[in-house]
Amino acid sequence: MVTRRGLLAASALAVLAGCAEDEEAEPASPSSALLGSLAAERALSAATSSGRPVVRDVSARARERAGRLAAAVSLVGGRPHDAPEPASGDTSPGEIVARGRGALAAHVAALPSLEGRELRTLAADMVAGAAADAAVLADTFDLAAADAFPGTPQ
Amino acid sequence: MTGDPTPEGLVARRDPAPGRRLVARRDPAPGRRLVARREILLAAAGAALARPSAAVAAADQDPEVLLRLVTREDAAALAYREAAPEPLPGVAAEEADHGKALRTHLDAVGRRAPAPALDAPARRLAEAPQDERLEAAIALEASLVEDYAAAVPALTEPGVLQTVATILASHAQHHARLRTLAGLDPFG
Repeated sequence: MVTRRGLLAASALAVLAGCAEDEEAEPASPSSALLGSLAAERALSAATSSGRPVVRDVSARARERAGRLAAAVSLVGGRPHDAPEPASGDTSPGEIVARGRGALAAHVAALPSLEGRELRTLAADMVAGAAADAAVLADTFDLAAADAFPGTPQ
Repeated sequence: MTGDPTPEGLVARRDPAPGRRLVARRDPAPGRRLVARREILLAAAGAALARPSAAVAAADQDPEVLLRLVTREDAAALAYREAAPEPLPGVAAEEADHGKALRTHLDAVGRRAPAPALDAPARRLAEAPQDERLEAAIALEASLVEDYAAAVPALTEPGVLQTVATILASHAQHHARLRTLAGLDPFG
């Protein structure tokens, strides 16, 4: 038998459950989200700084994206030098491809933290550019894998 | 029967039968307001419905963008199927997967996508002679990249945003791979 007390308790639980839905994990600050993207691009640029011309093209593109991201970090009050800048060196094909995919995933993960047309447009450019680089690197090293949703946060 | 006035003007009394429910009666003091349980329940339900919610807010802003994208995605899938053999293995299936993912978000806000139909860039691919298909596919993917990139600033709900971003990434990859197939700079 459903009592009135039971109904009240159920209503209260429903309201509380509704509130809990709103209490999703807070997104990272714009500064830390952009720093994550910047670190990933710097890592990619370092890993691709030598080798075949197409790989070095990726390095230049990653460096260009890193420059835009560093400016954006400054714009939102962060410090671009907080993102590590790894030294160039010998990197295995598997690691190069992983860094390409990592940069793309970092940009996708950053998106919910970025508000406003300027930052969102920057993020869309980052996603499209890093995605193309990740595909070219994977094809270059024969490590391509079918994925309809590349960059999905793990 | 005994009763204790509450601060809200409710007067509670124990029902004579043991273990029974509490009931409310009107406070005899003038100016006191009765708040019946029914009103409390209604207020709780109203609060639940009226609560500020990112999902509810997104429901107001994202569906039109999603509808436009799913229409484009369906058109692309249709074009790749009609222009078989597909220039990239599995590309038609990937476009279909994109459409399904976008439909899931649309379903969540109670909207339905229209039936698939070719749009101009997709029709160009579907009707292209064999020697022009690659060029038409490159143009189709470029237009998809452009539309998805333009959608990103307009979206609010984080889950929708990330789905759209990964589909943008997928089209950017198709574009680069098709350009490579055509002997062009993949990043052009």
